[in-house]
Amino acid sequence: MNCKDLEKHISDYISGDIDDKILQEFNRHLEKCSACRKEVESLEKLWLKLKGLPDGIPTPDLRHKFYSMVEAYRAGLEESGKEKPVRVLHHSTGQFFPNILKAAAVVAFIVIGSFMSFQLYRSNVMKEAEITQMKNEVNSLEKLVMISMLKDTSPSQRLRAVRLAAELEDADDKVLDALFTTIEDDPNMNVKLAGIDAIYNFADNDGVREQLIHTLITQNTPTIQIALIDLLVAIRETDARNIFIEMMKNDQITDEVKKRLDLGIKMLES
Amino acid sequence: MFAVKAGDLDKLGILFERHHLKMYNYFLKATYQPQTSEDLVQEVFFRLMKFRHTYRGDGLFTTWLYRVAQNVLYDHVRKKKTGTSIDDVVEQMTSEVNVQEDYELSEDVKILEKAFRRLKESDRELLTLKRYHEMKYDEIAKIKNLAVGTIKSKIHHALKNLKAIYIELSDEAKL
Repeated sequence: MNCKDLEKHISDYISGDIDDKILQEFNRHLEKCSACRKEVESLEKLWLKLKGLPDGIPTPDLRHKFYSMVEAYRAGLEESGKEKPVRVLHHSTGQFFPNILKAAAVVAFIVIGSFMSFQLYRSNVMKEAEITQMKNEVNSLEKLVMISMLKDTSPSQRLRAVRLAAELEDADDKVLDALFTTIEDDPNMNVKLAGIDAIYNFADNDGVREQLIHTLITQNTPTIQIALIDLLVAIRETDARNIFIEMMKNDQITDEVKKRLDLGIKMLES
Repeated sequence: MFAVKAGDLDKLGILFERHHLKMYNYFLKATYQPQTSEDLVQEVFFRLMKFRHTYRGDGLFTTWLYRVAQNVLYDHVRKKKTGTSIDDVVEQMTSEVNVQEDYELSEDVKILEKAFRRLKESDRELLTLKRYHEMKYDEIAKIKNLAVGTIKSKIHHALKNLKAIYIELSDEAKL
């Protein structure tokens, strides 16, 4: 073994995965080559020290969020009724199912499996229908998880929920309510603004347009007001024009917002 | 995992309890952002739940788990690179805690920790999988979809890179 050959086996050597036969050759080379010996020793030391790097410990929030997510998902499955999640006995007692039940389960699995294979084979159209159904199911579950995440205590988690909402193909009333609650009541400005961005995707819904105008009237933070004005202009909501004109007369509206309102009125008129 | 695939979501809790700490440290050692790491762990288990139908069980469960984790990490890095506004905001908002603060570390370990942080993310990931998760080379090769020899060589180089940074920082500390 020469220096180049030895280099190929260094990883195996320091991690203890080296083959016995190669180890003999490896050691023989180390005995006669001080440069390789020095290199291997230094890497080995570092490898040992590396194990001692401290671990991070997650906050209790992680566990809480995980179980909330599972519950939301389970609720979604039960609500959709398309799949009944199995509720089992506690892990330790679950080990004592009689063998006859296990055997019955195996038979059932085979029968159901064969039936499903046959069905899939028989009809491609059926397959497509199942895929569509599955997609719908996933979409509806995503909505439920998103709504649950929006109630999370962590702003970053709520932001993720808003991002999830923005990716939805369509939004039902529950999703839209959750998004408007976020825009109106969330204590974090960034989450509110992300909520406004997300609602843009659903602006072809008349109810959404109406609710956006209502939200604009009730908000008193300039940043949120401006974001809502921009959105209403971007979706060409002409009904907002009169509201903009009314707001221009309000002394409590800041100059900065009034400038945006003025611009908005002109753009909606053009 | 087969139980989870069959709809028994209670079993996902067992998988979470068994793997979340290692998973958290996998992300923490790649990103050094505690809040982000928690979010990424959450994302892994969400994907496990959502895509449980795709689990085939033709290899180690951990291989599949870390492949999902790797994809989650890559998606996160990609989003960071494209500079999506929400992610930027998340980064600003999360109070990044220094892991060292919780530990009474020797000066030497502190230097090593610092050197480890300076490594390329891909080097850190490989060393974490091998050294921290004690995975076999062939398992890492499956996760990374690379040949075993390539993984060995990459880990060797990652360690050499770490050594170079470690020596540099140690020398600076002596001055």
